Amino acid sequence: MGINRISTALLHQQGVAAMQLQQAKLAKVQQQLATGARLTRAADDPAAASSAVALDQALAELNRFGENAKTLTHKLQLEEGALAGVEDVLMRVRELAVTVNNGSYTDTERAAIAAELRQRLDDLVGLANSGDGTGRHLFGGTQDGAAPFTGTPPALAYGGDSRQRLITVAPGVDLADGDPGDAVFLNVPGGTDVFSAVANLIAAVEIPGNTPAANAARQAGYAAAQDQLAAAVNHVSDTRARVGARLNAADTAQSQREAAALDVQTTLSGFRDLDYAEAVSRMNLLLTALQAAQATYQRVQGSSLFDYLR
Amino acid sequence: VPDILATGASALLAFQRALDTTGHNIANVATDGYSRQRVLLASRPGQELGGMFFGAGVQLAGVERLSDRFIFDRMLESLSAQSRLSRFSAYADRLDGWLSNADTGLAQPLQKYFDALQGLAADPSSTAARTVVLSSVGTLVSRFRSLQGQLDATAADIGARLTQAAGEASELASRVAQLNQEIVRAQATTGGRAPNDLLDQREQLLSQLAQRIGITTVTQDDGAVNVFTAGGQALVVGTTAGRLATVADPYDARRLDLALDIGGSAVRISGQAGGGEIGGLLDFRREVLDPAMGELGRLAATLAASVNAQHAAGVDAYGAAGGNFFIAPQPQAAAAATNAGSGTVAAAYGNLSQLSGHDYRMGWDGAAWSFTDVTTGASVTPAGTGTAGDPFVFGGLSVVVSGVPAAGDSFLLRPTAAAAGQVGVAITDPNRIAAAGPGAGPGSSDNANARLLGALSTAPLLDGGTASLNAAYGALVARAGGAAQQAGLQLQAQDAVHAQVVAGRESVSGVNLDEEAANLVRFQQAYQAAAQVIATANSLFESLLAAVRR
Repeated sequence: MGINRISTALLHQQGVAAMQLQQAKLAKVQQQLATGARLTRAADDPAAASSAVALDQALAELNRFGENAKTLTHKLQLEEGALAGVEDVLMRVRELAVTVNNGSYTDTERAAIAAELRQRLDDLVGLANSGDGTGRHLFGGTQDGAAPFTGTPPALAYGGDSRQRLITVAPGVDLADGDPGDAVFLNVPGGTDVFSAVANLIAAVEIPGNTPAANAARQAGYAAAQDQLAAAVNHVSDTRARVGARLNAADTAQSQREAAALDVQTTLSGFRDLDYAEAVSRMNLLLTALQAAQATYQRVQGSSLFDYLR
Repeated sequence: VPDILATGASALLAFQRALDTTGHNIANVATDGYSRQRVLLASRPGQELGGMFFGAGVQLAGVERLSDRFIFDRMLESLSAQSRLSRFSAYADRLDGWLSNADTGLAQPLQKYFDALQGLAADPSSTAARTVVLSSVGTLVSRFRSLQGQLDATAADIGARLTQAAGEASELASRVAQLNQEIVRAQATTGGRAPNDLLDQREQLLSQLAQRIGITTVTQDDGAVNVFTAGGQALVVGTTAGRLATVADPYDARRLDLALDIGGSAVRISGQAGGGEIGGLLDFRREVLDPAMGELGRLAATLAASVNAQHAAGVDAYGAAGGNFFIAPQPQAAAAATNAGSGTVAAAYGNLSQLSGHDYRMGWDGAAWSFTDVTTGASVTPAGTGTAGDPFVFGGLSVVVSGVPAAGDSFLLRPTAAAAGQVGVAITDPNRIAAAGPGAGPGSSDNANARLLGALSTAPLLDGGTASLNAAYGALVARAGGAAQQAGLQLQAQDAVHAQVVAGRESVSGVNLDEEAANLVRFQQAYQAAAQVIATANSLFESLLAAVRR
């Protein structure tokens, strides 16, 4: 037998198989078009699926860093606000220190200034005990559940600790979300603290009498207080500048995150996302092939020698 | 003397049979496994008359069944391979689906868990952040368990299908043996003529058998066919059939192996099924399912132990040192059911980065222990002596032997096969999460330990300190996807091969209705012509009578 015999059953099977094959491919392209995804399971491209697992995690991490940065920024802004308040108060105190340094002032006049200074000292303690809006305190380190500064100024006890929390805002970028109260208010260079600087001024102001000895004692007290206040203002300004720098770093981290996320998304999209134009043209081709298979089946099955034996 | 009447009658009879056979072919155009038949005709030997030979008509030489043994052997191979691959591929697709789908896989819950820890690190005093950590770890653990549940269910499903396929194969083998008997008897009574339709039936049974398990066949002179498994064990010899059945694994009563029972003694042949549905089930279990279980468990065990260690280094919201965060899985050690001694084996995790996800068999030969990596078949040399003070140490395990084993006793260590189902969450109080670093007091909002717990997400905990949990899971997804992809491609290729084999068989054995229609016309015309020969004989005889009467 030179030529290949074809059996009737095979002709039928092949026709059906051809249609089924096209339909299976159409089902796949239909699923891809419906979901917009090129990869519907790892078997479609195992290496890409494995990379996608890692990239998904990287992307989720970048999103998390973004959330973290918001929390951090919020806390740093609160801290900056509080520190700005502290600066304002200290400026006012320095003004008062200049004002009160006037030889013609009487005890009564000095008492009025001392009263305002006490008020400012209370303001400072209040700022040092600022809350963060969630029941915690900005300047308590990590022991921030209760107000960190307790007692009567200047005999204040610090109940917080000296720890800082580091927050990751971008890969490799860790920023502290606050400064502990001891570092901000107590450890002013020159061996003083913010509260004592004010309290020392008050003590000098409250030296009574206008005797030469009293004047000299007040002068000495004023001079020392001026120095201490200047150191305190510098220290608070420095702290505030560092907070500002961290806020800047958090902003910079945002663009760093966005660039990294764009990279990751582009790669992921290349792995996973469907090229619609390609998929639609593939679908058209498959439809044509299916119609051809159907037409062929119908024509082939429709012809039989028995039709002519009548 | 040639007799025109007898010649015509022989032709009538011959074409009657030819038409019958054509009808038989047409009747069986849709019968699976049918091989077309044709009547073989031969001219009757001539008679010598006056030094010349005159033909004496036609005679039936037999009914031929058109088939090709070699094509049939290829068909059996192709059916076995196709059936094996389609079973393998279907299971591999399911596993791939579970692991790579976001709603069933581990990638998302793992990500969410670490995300929640990072969130806690950013806002450690937030009760909400602590609660999110607990709920995300709950989701992660339940995902581990549900994946383990799917894998266990798959293993049980494979066992049930094995039992069913083994039963069907046994039934088919015994029917082949019966047909052998009928064919041998028929062939003996007809002097060696084959009973064509019984041969078709037997080939059909053999095809079905090949779809269950890989077989080879050898046809005997008496017409019987002997059937052997791919491993060479006799399944059918003459009129005797062996029985395929499932038997419990010696180390695990729930795991079923395939055994062949010949004359009352069962032989395990799990490694030698070759092809067919049974081959596909056993190969998938050994090559894909077992490694996937070991790997998933390795992730669970590593996660639990690493997190627990880091958690213990921190301080919770009450100011206490961190307790267990996860309920950590434990390695499984099972004694063979046949063990005679009193030896027992206890295994614990050691250096987690050395865990392989493989199973190990340890055997006592009366003098020494030997260790084999079941997954790779390689032998393993552990450090230590196996005592409590100096345990065997290998593959991230530490193994202590106690009691007195008998020579020949063995144990199977499955370090991580069940671990994904054992892992749990050990804490229920969000304030027990040790987010703060060492030295922190009660109510501290320190985040040092939360950061370290979060950093485990990218820490190289596995593969000797080279792979993170996420990377190892990615590799597992890639392996399962790769197995599914490969099986799918092989199945496609095998389908093409099978189509060729079927076309080859059909070209020899298949019925073509147009051909039969043409034969119908041909034999009908011949039959009519033979009838005309008889009519002519009659008219000749009439002429002769008329001449004599005159």
